[in-house]
Amino acid sequence: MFVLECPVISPRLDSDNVLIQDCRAGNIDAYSLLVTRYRTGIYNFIRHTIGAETDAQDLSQEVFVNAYGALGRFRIGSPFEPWIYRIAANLCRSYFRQAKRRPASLDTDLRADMTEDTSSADPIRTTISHEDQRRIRAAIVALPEEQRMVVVLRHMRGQSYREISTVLGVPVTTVEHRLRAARHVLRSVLEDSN
Amino acid sequence: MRCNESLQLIDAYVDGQLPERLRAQLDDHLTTCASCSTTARSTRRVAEAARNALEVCALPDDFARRVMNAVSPRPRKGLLWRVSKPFPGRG
Repeated sequence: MFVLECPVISPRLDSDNVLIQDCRAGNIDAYSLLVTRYRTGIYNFIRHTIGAETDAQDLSQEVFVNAYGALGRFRIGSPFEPWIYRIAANLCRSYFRQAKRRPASLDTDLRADMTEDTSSADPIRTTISHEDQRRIRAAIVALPEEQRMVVVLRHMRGQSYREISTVLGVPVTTVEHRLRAARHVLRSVLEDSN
Repeated sequence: MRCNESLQLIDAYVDGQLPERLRAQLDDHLTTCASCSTTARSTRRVAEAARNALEVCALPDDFARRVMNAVSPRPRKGLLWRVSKPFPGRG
């Protein structure tokens, strides 16, 4: 409700749309560029949402295969990113419905193949101790699934509230409420540790 | 601006999601209200902690190839068989 309305035509939007039109014209190689562009984001969104590394790889592949099959229904001129993240979010929901299992703890050491997010150069990050990071990670894993997806899209992907509402198919006010509720839990974790 | 309204806006404020007019009003309120200012600081800290906790991992190198194999049209078996079959009278 309070979110700025500021549609921006980004170079990436143009570029994505050109690739999609190439794919529709039969140039399948254009799709590999889209896969390369979005694979890391999609994989990490799924991985942090379901908390299982191997399943996250399989689901990520399923996202791109399903998206390829649905490219004919993609509306040229609209952004590709929320469209493909919506496919990923729906697959995560199916995963939870089918598996009916809680996500495994991300504390199992997945850091061996970790590549550092370039945004980590922010000096404020150094003020958060490793122990607090571990606590926060565990608390994120324990959040309700829909809240967890909002947290991951906001804090890992840096998506706006409006983008998140598009991905999850809920109103912006619902995004705000879920984020506030999730942060309330995370804040209590940090306060308990201090 | 009152505290109850301020508290509803602090998350969007920290995330840079407020329109300019509301952001300016909240800025004014935060300079005079110690309680809301503390909440804003702790919200910012939570946001940074969450961002820091969600590390980014790489996929295996062959991921894109596997996807492309899965979406590439496969040649029909009969056609392959005919192409690979030696011409009559040779070999």
